[in-house]
Formats: sequence, C-alpha cells, structure tokens
Amino acid sequence: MGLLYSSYIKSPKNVCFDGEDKDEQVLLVLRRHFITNFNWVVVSILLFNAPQIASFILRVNGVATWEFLPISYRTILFFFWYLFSFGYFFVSFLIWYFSVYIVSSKRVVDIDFQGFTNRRFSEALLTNIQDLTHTINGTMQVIFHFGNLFIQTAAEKQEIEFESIPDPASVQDFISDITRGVKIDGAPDIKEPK
Amino acid sequence: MTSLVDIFANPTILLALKISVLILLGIYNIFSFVVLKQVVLMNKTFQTSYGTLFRMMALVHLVAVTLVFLFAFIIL
Repeated sequence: MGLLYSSYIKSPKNVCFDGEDKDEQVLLVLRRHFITNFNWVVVSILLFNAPQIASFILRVNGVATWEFLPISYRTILFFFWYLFSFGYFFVSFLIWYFSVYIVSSKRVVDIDFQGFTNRRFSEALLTNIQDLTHTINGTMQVIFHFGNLFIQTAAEKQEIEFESIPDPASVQDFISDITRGVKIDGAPDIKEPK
Repeated sequence: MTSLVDIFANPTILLALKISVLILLGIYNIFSFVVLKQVVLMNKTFQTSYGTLFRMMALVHLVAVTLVFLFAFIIL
C-alpha cells in the first residue's frame, strides 16, 4: 500500500522496470516528496467544487440557479465537468506516481514523465558513478526535508538528477556505499538506508 | 435572469452551444484515449502491483467520456 503514496520505498516488493536484468534487485524507489503535489491537489479540490462556487457567485449576482440553461445541457455539462476534474486529478497523480528514481544493485535509473505525453528514461551503471552531490534549497525543502541529488557519471551523459527527493543525504550515503562495494568487489555493499 | 433565459431560448445560440459542447467532448474523448495509451506505456516502464488498477480506471474513464459524448449527441 505504501507504494501508492510513499516517496521513499526501501526494498520494494513486486516492482520492476523496463530493461531490468534477471539477476538485478531493486533496492530503493524514490519519487518527488509528497508535498510537491500541493499545487495540483489544491487545483483538483477547486475543480471538484467549482460548480458550487459558480452557483454561489451566480446567487450573489441575483441569479437563483442554473435554470437559464436547458436541462439537457445542464446534465451533459454536469457529467463532463466531473469527468474532466477526475481526469485532471488522475493524470496529475499518474505523472507523480510513475516519475520515479530507482536504485538497483546494478544502476541508478531516472524515469521522468514530463507533461504526460513526454517520457525521459536515463540510467547510469553504478560502476560509472563518479561523484554525488545533494542540495537542500529554500524554506519548503528545509521544513519538509527534501532536496536534489546530482549524480555525476563517467558516461557520455554527465549527470543524473534526482529532484525533490526526501532525505537526499541518506540516499547519497546509500548510493555511495553500494557504488564503493561494486567498484571494489563487483557486488553492491548493501546497508539499510537511514 | 430573464435575459439569460431569453438568450438560451434562441435556436441559433443553442445550435452554437450544441456544436461547442460536442467539439469539447470530442476533444476530451481523444484525450481520454491518450490517457489510456499512456497508462499502458507507464505500466510497461515501471511495473507495480497497482498497474491493473490504473489501467482499469483509465478504461472506465474512456468509456464514461464516450457514453457522455453519445448521450450528448442524442439529447442535445
């Protein structure tokens, strides 16, 4: 159940990603901190309540009800509005849910869904990781303890960025540990994150 | 109130409104189909135990939008 709403999932079960090898193990799944969903959650609440808000505004302006519209139009617009509100909520949730950062026993993966129809899939082998840097900037990130983690690699694509992840320091330490293990003896040195 | 009722009693205004509503629903119908296709792609990219649930929700959404479109076509 935690997979549905959590931004920090250790050793998740029943999870795999496109291109995962048979002998590969997903160690950590990260998403943007839940607080980053604030904007679309508020917009969704407003959308679902917009008919009531509009009725109130009409009433204040002396129009008693929606009766100026024929009943057939009111019915169709009623269904359309709630389907549209649900669609907005559903799509926003899916973009957050499926935009994940994965740390496996072989690589780090950044799956990014931008604007719903665009997908970016970046990965870097643990053996190619050169440097890890995390930043926590701004009031919101300090209060809710989330930030960005930059992963420098030796590959052609220089950097993978884990954006707005919870507790970036502990994730940095975890990736650093498993990378060292892979580079020394070919197997990740798995310690419990946090 | 009375003026609004008069405006929407005009057959030309109602025809324009009907065409607008049908176009709006048609565009949203295409969007809901794209949502379903995208959910399938997302489920393939990152597979979890909730994949089937999301696919079902996207399918129900598409069916509901299609039904509203057909309903609008009939009753408007």
